[in-house]
Formats: sequence, structure tokens, C-alpha cells
Amino acid sequence: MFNVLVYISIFSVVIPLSCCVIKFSALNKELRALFLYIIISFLAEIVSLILQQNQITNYIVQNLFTMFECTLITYIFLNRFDSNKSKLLIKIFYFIFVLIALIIFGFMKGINGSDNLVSTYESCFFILLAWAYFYKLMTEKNISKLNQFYFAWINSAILIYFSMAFISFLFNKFIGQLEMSLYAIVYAPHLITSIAYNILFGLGVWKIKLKS
Amino acid sequence: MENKTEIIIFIIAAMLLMICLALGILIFFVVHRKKMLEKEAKIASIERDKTTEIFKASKEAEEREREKVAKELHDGIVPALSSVERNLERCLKDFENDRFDPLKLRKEITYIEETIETVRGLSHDLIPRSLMAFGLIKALSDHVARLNGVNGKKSYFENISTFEEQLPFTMAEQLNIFRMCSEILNNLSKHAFYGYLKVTMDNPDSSLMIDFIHDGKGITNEKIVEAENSNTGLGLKSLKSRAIILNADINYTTEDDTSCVSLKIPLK
Repeated sequence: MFNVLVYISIFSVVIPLSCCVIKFSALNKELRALFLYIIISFLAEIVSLILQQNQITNYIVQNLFTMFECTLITYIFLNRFDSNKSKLLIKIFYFIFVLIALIIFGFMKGINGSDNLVSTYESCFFILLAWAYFYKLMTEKNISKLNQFYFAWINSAILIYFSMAFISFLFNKFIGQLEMSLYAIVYAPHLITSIAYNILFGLGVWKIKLKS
Repeated sequence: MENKTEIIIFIIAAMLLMICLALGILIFFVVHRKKMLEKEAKIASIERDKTTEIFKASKEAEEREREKVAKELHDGIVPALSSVERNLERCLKDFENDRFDPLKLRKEITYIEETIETVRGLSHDLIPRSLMAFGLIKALSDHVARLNGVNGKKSYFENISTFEEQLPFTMAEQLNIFRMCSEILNNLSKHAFYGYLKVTMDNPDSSLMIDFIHDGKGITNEKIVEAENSNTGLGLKSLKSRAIILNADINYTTEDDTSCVSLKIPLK
């Protein structure tokens, strides 16, 4: 059952991926970054799965993916905020992320080492960004129907997924040491939110109107 | 082992808490935004209604003004001029028949002079010259001065505001204020039977205040509302229309021997 959930979680990436391919001509620069993120995410999942099945540690893939993920999502949010103050704040948070990642992956544990601090910081950063974006949306008057606005879906996906992932990443080491039956119980909610994450991404991309 | 189970329960509880928090924020955001949009739509609707009301009021005031001018022309000036025309024709016939009477011609000249005076009065009613040339303070002061001594009634104007000559209103607004004052004075002359009237102009609390204090028969705000709703209260309706346009308040108070009509117009 758990394995089925793992496969559904991995292949649920196909949903936003297909949406991006269908709507490719209508994608703006932030959605193209999202498209790239989805492709990298899909590839990372496949490579991780292959490495896991061959009993090889996949930390390098996870760490590199975290770096790409943070960079691409930060880029997307940088395009969503208009004020220079917000942009500067995002850049500062991203700079701190790069600094932590450099210290940990470069000097402390190496790129192939197991770490949860970078991903936990990343989750925190994105939760805050999602909150800030919802706050910004509250005051925006030019969006009449929220369910028709693509980024409301994408932001919801980010908020829900990283809220869950924050706890998973925080207790990553402990969860990784659990026997399979317990690991399945603890990790299943993460997989479910991962599926929801991809579905919400798909919905967001689907809301983009094709150029006539 | 027990410790491990406790940690697992804690992790799952924390995960659920985080998800609830995220969903809570989402729901709060959607509900709050919906309420905010509804509130804004309501405000926009009120603003729209107010604009419509002001437009309607200004149109009504304009129509009433036209009716007044038309009535004045139809009932006063046209018959007078027609009568003069008929009499002059008669004079011409008399002249042709050598029965010309210079006294009759003199009488017609007097009629024409009276008609000119009526036209002048009407023109003054439309746009008072002193208002155009010197502004509201002078025009109102002149208007009150003209009432002084009519039928033995005493009328005074006193400006205790910080404005000496010009008020911070456009000419159209000053004209509207003048018409309101003129209507109030007219109503007081007709219905209050006062012997003494004092008009004061002041500017307390970022507003222009014009008080009409008199010793005649006073009226309360309730009675005014009743009169406004009756078919005969055309002047009062006109006052109300102009008050809406200027965002002004008219307050009627009465005491034992003194009554007051207060006109309060917000300054810009």
C-alpha cells in the first residue's frame, strides 16, 4: 500500500507536467520556471527511486534538488511581488539559504551528506513567502474571481506542501531511521500532500488562458 | 520503544497541526477577501446612489428654477408687454385720428419702466450681480440689507467668520448657497412674521455656518420634514436638493422668543 502511494506521489508530477506542455505557449516566465522545476522534480524522483532500489544513498540528488527547488521557487516569487522592499527581503532570505547550503554542503557534510537544516530553512522560507503572497492578494482589487487566478492555486500548493514538509524535514533523521512499517505511517502524510501539491500545481497551470 | 512511539505521535500531530494551520490560513484568506470585496461593492453602490441622488437633486433644482423663470415671464412680463403693445397701437391710432393724448403715452412709458424693473429683478434672481462681482458675503449682506425696513421689519447681516471677502467655494457653490439663503429668507418673510432678523456668518469646525435668528414664529425639524413631504413644500424640496449637492445641513430650532435656522456647509 505504501509503495503504491510512493509511486502515485512520484507519477503525480505528470499532472502539472502535462498541463505545462498543453499550455506551453501561454506560460509566462514564472510559469516556465515552474515548468523547469516540475521537470527537475520528476527527474529527481526517478533518479532517487532508481538509486534507492540499487541500495545507493540518494542524498546528492536530494541536496541538489533542494538547491534547484529553492532557486526556482524564489525566482517565481520574485516575479510575483512588485515592491522593491519585498524583492529585497526575498533576496536576503535566499542569500541566507545559499550561505547555509554553502557552509553545510561545502564545508561541513559535503554534497553527498545527509542534512535537514537546509531543507527545513527552505520550508520555513516558502511558508512565509506563501503567507506574504496571500496577504498581498487580500489587498489586490484587480482579481475579481480568486478561483480563476492561477497563482492562487500555485501559492496554496506551496503553502500546504511546505507546511507539511517542514515537519518531515525537521525530523528527517529520526524518520529515516524508523523500521519500514513505522516509516510508512509517518511518511504517508508527506506523500499525500505531495500528491495534493502536484494536483494544485496542475490546476494552477490549467487556469492560464491560451493566447488566441 | 515507548519514547519512539511518543515521538512518532508527536511528529504526526505536528504534521496535522501544520496542515490545519495552512488550511486555516487559506480559509481565512478566502473568507476575509470575500467579505472585503462585498464591503467594497457595498461602498461603491452607496457612492453610486449618492452620485445619482446629487445628480437628481441638481436636475430638480434646475427644473424648478426654469419653472420659476418661465412663470415669471409668462405671468408677469409677457402680459405687461402685450398690454403695452395694445395700448401703444391705440396711441398710434389716436395719433392718426388726431386724438393723441400724451398722458396715455406717459402711462405706457411708466408700464415699460415697471416691466424693465421686473426683468431686472428676475435677472437678479437668476444670478445676482453682486454675487458675481464680489462673492457670497457681499451678495448676502446686500440681500439682507434690502429686506431691512420692508413692512417695518428689521434685518441685519453680521460676518463674524475669518473670511473677509471671498469664501473657499466655487462660483456655482456660492450661487447654490445664496439661493438657499434666499429661499430661507423668503420662507421667513412669508411664514415667520418676524419683527427682527439677524443673519450671522461664521466658520467653526471647518465649516461655513449661516444662522438666521429671528423673533417670529419658529419651526422644528419634525415639522419641516412633514412640510417637505407635502405637495406644497416645493421651496423646501429645493432647499433639500441644494443641501444634498453641497453636503450641507439645515437645522431648525425654536425657543420661547427666539427661533433659528442654521445652515452648515462643510469647507473644503
